[in-house]
Amino acid sequence: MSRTRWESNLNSHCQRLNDYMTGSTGLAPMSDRATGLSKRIYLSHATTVSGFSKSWQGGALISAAALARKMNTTLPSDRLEVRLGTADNVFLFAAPFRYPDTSCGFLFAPTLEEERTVDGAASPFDSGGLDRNITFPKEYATAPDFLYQHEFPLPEHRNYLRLSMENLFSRPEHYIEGVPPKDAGCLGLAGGDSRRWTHEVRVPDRILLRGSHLQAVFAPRSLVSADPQLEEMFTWCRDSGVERIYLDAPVDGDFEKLKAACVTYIQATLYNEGINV
Amino acid sequence: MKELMSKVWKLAELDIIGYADVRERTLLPAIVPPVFQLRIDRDVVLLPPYKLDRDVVAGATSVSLMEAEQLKEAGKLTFLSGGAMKAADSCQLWLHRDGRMHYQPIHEAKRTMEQLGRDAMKRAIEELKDGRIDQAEVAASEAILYNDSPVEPYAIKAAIRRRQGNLAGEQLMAELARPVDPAAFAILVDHYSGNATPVQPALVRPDNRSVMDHIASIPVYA
Repeated sequence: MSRTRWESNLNSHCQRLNDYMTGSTGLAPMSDRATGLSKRIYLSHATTVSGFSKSWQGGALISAAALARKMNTTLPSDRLEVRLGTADNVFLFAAPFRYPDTSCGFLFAPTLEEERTVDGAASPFDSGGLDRNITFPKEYATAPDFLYQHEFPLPEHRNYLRLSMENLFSRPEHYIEGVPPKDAGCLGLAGGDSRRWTHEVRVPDRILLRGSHLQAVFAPRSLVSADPQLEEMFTWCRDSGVERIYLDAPVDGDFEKLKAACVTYIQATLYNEGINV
Repeated sequence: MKELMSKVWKLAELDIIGYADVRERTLLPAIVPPVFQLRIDRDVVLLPPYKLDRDVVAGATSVSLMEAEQLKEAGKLTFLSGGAMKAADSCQLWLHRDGRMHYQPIHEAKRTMEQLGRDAMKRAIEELKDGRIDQAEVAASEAILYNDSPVEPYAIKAAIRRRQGNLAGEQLMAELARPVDPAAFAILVDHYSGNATPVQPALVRPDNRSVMDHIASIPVYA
C-alpha cells in the first residue's frame, strides 16, 4: 500500500485526461454539477439476500480473504481477486448498484472514504472486469500491472471522476444513470460494459455496518418481512434514521429494480439538494 | 475512442445455466433472475441486472464462464444441477417453497404463485386462530414471499409483533405493507390481534398503486 504512489498515479492520469481532451474536443469548463455529483456520489455494495443477512448478523461487510481466515481456509490461487492482489478488500462502487446482485444493497455516504485514506484505494474501472471482459493496453503485461498503475487515493479519486463526468459523458448525470460515455477517454480500455468506466473503491478487511456512514438499505419488502435478520436490520435503520427502500417482487421480468431504485434515490437526494446546477 | 451501444440478446440464442441468487430454504419461494449462456459461445455468460422483454434480454453484463464459476464459489450464483435448459420468451424462473424450480410463462407463474399465496394466508389465519403463533408467522411469511401485494399477511405479522410486545416490529410491518389507509391497516391488525371486530380486507387493499410503486418506493417514514 502506498498513498504516495496512488497520488502520483492520480496526478499523472488527471494530466493525461486534461491533455487528451485539450487535444481532441477541448477541455470542458469545470461545472458545479459534476463537482457536486462527484463529491457526493454514494458508495454502493449490492449483495444476495444471504450475504445481506449474514453481513448484518456479523456487523460488517468483510473481504473474501478475511472471510476465508475466519473459516480457517484459504482462497484458491486462481481466484480473480487473489491474482489481482485485491482479495483482502471489500469492494464498493462510487455509483449506483450495478452488478451482479439484484436483491439487496447497502449505500454508504462518501464520508466513509475519509476514514480510509491511508489504506483504501480506488480505480476508475471495476478491477474484476480486467480479467477477460475489458481489454487493457498491451504495454501492461498483466491485469495486476495495469491495476497497479491506476490505483488512486481516497477520496481524491473523485477529482478524476469529476473530470470524467465533465468531459467524457454527454451530461454528468449519465455516469450515475448508466448511460455510456460519449468518449471512452485515454485509459486505453476497450470492451465490456459499465464496469469499464465505473469507479471502484476498495477498503481493506471490513466495513462496519452499524456506523454513521450507512446512508440507505435496499431490499425486497417480502424478504424484510420474512427474514428475522433483515427485520432487525430495517428496524435498527428506522430507529437510527437510515433510509429504507423497499423493492417489489420482479413479477414482470424486471431484474433492474435494485439498480433503478438506487438511481431514483440518488436523483431524489443529490440532483436537487445542495448541488448548484 | 467512441463508445458502442449496449447490447440486446435474443432469448432464442440462450440457455439458462443457473440463477443469480442463493437462498436459504426459509426464504423461499422466490422469483429469481436466470443466468444465461450464449449457445454459440459457451464462454459468454449473461448476468443481471437486466430486463427481460418478451423475446430479448437487455442490459445484461457479459462475463466469462470462469468468472461466473468464481461468482458461484463466492456465493452469488446457483448453477442448475440438471445442466443447461433452453431459455424461452415471456417466461419466469421461480423457486417453490419446497425448493423445486419452475420455468413457465409469466402469466401462469403469476397465477400459480398468487394461488399458493392465498393458500398460505388461509393457513396463517387458521394457525393464528388456534394460537400457534410460530406456525402462523411462517405461513404469513410464505404468503408474502409468494405475493408481496396483499396487506393481510403483513397485518398478521404486525398482530404477532403486537402480541410479542414488539412495537418497533409492528410499525415496521405497517411500513412494509404500504396500506392505502394506515388507520384501516391498524384496524386489520386489531382484528388479527383478537381485540376488534372483523373488517373488510378490501378496505385496505392497495389497489391504487402507481407505476412507481411497482418499481420501488422511497418510504415516507424516513
